[in-house]
Amino acid sequence: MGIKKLFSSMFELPKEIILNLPLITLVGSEEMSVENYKNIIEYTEEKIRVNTSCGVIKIEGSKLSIKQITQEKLYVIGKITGVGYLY
Amino acid sequence: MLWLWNYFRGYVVIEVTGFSVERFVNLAVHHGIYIWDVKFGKKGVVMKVSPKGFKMLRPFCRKTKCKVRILQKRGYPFIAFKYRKRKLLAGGFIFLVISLYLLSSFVWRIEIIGNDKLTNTQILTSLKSMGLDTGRVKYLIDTKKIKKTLQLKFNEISWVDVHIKGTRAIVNLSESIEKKEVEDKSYPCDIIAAKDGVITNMVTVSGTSVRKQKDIVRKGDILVKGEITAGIEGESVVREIVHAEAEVRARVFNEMSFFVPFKYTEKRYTGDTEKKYGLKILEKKFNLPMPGTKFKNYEKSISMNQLKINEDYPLPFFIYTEHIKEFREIELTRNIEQAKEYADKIITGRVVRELDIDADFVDKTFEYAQEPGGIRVNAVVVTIERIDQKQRIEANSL
Repeated sequence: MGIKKLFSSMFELPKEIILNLPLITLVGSEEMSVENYKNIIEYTEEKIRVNTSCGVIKIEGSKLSIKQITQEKLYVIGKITGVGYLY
Repeated sequence: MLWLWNYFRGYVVIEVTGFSVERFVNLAVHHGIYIWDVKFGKKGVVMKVSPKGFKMLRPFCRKTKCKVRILQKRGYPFIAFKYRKRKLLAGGFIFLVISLYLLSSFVWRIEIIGNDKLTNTQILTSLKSMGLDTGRVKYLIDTKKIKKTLQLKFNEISWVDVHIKGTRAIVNLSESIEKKEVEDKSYPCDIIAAKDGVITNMVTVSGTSVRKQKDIVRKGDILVKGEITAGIEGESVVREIVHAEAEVRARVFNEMSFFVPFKYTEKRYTGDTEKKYGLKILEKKFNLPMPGTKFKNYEKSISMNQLKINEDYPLPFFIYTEHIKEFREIELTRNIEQAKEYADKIITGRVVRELDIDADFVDKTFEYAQEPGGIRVNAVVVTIERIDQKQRIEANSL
């Protein structure tokens, strides 16, 4: 792990590809995409928990729904109030 | 756009109920099934999935002990499946497409733009002889050849363009500037009076004036002779016959006499209207079976509407509407005062209509004579107008 981290920082390569880390994109508070996720743990209208390689991401909000879901990318829409990591 | 793609591929709306829907979705996604629009429904989680993916879902249901229920099947493949046995519908659709294509491959309207002196019928008949007419197949029309022959045939055309846009043939042309007509001054002539009157002023350009201002002239009197004498009087006088030119204005008394009857009829619209519709295909008219008009006196006007797909694709079908307006003829009588007023209106109308633009209106006087059933009006309208007129000097009269 240490070598990979060094390697990616030395050559300025994107870490989400080399280290397989999740990439989260937020568009305002209504759209959000999570790339490089593992699987969904919990899904309700108020809370979504997603498992990734560096812990569990918790998305809070209201009227959350999954617009699109593929192996690489999870696309969530709704009113997002909070995003955080649970270790 | 993704919506359109999904519609053509078709998709199934399913409702998943069970203990762990998350696990079910995870499994499906890991097996490469495309899922979208995951929402909470009344009982479970509602999502959309492709028909192919839906068939792969069954083992995951068993594994996660979830129940899957189809709510809706949407998209083109399902509609096609539903109507697969209705051959007439499919045939009708194909027929529609073919007939639209066939109808749009003819010329249905010819538009001529830019003609001023040439009439539409003049151009249309020559176009017809060249093979451009309504109802011809547009692919067989040689617009270049038509352009050339049009230009050769009509000298008035300085530039012409013929092109076919949709089912319209557009003939765009511009006419050459009219050559100013040069007055023919080659022949010798006199100036004579065209009307009786008193000369008010006279400007002679060429020739010898015979009459002068304030002279009373009769119609046909010679005003200016087309003759010039040169040289000293009494000695060797040279006479030359010329083309006389002059502007002679005179006070003219125009007499008018007409009869104004006391009784007259007036058209008055009752406000009642009727409308009749009909269909015209190419040149044939089809009247809709409708009862004849119930009006006794009526005026008819027809308006026509051509059916078209859009501006460029007019079709050979016309809907025409007959507007029928009822009127009533009312018998009215007028007294002498009204008759006089009416006579005045007639005179003003006549002066405007009959007199030359150059004429200046000076005065008018009336005389009324009572006759049975109306009045006779004798009016004299005094104007100042041009009275010069050219008269050719015959060679043998010299």
